[in-house]
Amino acid sequence: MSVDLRRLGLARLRLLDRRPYYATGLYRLSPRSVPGLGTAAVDRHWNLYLDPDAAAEWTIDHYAAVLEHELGHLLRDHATRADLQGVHEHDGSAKRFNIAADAEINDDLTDSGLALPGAPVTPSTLGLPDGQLAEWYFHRLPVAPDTCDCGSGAHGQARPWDLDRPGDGGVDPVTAEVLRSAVADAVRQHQSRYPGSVPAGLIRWAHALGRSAVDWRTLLRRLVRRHAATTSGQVDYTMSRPSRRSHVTHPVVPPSLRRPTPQVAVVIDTSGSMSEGDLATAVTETTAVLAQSGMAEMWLVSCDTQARAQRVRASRLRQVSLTGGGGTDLEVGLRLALGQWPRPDLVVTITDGFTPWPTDPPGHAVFVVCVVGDGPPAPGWATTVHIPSSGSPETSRDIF
Amino acid sequence: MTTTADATLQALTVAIAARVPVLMWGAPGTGKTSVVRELASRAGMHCETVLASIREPSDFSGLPVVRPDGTVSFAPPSWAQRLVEHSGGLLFLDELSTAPPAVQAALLRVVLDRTVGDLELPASTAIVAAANPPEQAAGGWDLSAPLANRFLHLEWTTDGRTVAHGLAHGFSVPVVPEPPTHATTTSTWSSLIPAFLTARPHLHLVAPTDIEQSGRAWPSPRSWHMAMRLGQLAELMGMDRSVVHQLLMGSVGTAATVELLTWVDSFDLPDPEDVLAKPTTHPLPGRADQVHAVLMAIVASLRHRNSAERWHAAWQVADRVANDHAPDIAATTAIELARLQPRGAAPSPSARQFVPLLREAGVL
Repeated sequence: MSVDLRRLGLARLRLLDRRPYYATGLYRLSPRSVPGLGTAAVDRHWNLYLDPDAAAEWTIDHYAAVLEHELGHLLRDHATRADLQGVHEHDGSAKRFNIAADAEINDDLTDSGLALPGAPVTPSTLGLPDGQLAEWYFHRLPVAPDTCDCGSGAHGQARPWDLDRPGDGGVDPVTAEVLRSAVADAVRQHQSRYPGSVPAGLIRWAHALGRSAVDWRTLLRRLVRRHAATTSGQVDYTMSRPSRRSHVTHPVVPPSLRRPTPQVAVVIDTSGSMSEGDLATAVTETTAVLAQSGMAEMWLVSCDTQARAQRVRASRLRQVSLTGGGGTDLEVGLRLALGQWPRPDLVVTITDGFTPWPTDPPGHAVFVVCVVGDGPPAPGWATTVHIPSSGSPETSRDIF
Repeated sequence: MTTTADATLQALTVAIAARVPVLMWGAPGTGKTSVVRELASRAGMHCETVLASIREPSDFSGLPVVRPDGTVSFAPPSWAQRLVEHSGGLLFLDELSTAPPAVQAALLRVVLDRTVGDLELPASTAIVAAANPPEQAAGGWDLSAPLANRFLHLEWTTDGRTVAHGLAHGFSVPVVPEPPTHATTTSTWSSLIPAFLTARPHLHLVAPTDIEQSGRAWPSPRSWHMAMRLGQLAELMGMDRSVVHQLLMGSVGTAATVELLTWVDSFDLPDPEDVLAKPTTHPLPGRADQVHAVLMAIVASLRHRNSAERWHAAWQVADRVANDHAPDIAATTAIELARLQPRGAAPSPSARQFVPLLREAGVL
């Protein structure tokens, strides 16, 4: 027995009536019959596996919701995200990720009026708040309750029914990316034409898709490395001084190496508006990055309306106490940092961004500003790195 | 069966055959080096491995030698001379991202012009480089944007199944094919890419602005040309679509490739006006999403200019789609068409067949 294509058509019609922006993605799914599957599943190639017996029992509304749910796994690229979380078959994490992914999709489904058959997983059935990402739920699910399996498209692990090749739709990873961006475009257009008609989770997804963000630690590490390297020429070749061995190698002129020691200052906004936990996290992580990049000693400047500087060894950072509170004027801190000797070449500032900034660079150095939370970025003379506050959820692309 | 890893391997062989410099990005220990050496030996190419990270700029720009007459010549290192002696081969630059910036700058000429100091490498020299992403490499440097733009970037992925099979039976690599001699023949990509850039001129050059992208593929006239050559060659060699996609993405980056493929998808579609002119005979695409796109284009052009005649023609197309493809795709259009009925036009006889379907779907 194979899937009743007429009923599948009815379900597509029903879904597109509610959610016209899914059209590009929905018509690209290649339906396949898998008797005995018990439910619906997808794989990475946009094959949609349906149990004909189960499908025959769904109402058209159920069916439409199932299609939206399965398409949701593919649009949100749960398979790749499961890989990034190191999901495995044997330790039950595939099952857990599947449930986490279901929770991410289903809280949007409930307000569409289309209901999934049976008792679907939602954040509230798991006792968790709505509107989070699969990764967030994944780390908060202690054990895997036994529920349905949405296939390799939801958790990345191969399933016996997988065809493991692109179906009629011919969807390879790049095409899948094209489809995702096409649906995201349609979602954004629909939302601007009919505000309030698109579920919140889907809007967040559509807006996050366009911009790719990297982990701020990686970004900061790269910035520090690059700036420490270019300001101080960590290990680079120079012809400006002949090599000490050039008399041996004559007539070959080899270059010499230069390695001035980089100096770094960390300016920390200790004003009352910075939350204790965020400040501690940001300082620990930032100084760890600096220490990893080879800065043995650094200037530490704690700053509210006044500033205090101290010279610390990277290995002793845990013992440093930060004092402060009240308002902020980071300019004071920046000037104090730049007035130290040895003069810093790189100044890393940790702040919530709510501070007056000087319009011109306060001195000759490279400036990196870590803004904790949703604060405004620093002026153009500094490079801004956004650090998500522990209270605010990370957007889906922050994980990549 | 084509997995992503297979497609990457095939993309690598196309690039070597085309003599386009390739840069493979991947975690340490994933077999980049051994695959390249194996590829070279299977293809009977002489392979020179140069670790960029332990070299200095003069190893690539030539050692400056003061001659008795006071001029300076740039002596090529022995690996370059060996490549000339073997009249070509494969130059493998390992650990590229751990090379200091001055070495990277010196590599620009080697990669682009195949010139080392005063010595020109044979035109048949293939250049392959491997790099670890800076966050995974000890002491990694970001690749400079100009050097990055000269390479085809391939993401080196390994999947468990291939590794398991490889450990048991030995890793297999495809044979680098001979580049077809009739490579001047026009192909789809040599006409599509110029047409795309005419439609989206702003995409011909998008210099990277953030750190994350500067060391990766980005669109420039040079990389578009590279994309075109590789796409053309892969097509002539009968490669899979996913291989072509990887080649495009590795040349001009993901964002530009997604735009290009989106545009190509709609470029394939028939003009709605042509379909309306011959509603019963004009060929329609076979894939559901394309049929849907054509019908939506017809609705849009009716909104723009409507008449009883055009409206009836649109119903005829919907009729055909309902019979030949999927009734539900036609039914979505039927709702739109019903709303667009021009004043004075007789009701369409085709409309009635969609009513039970729409009612059953709970849409009416």
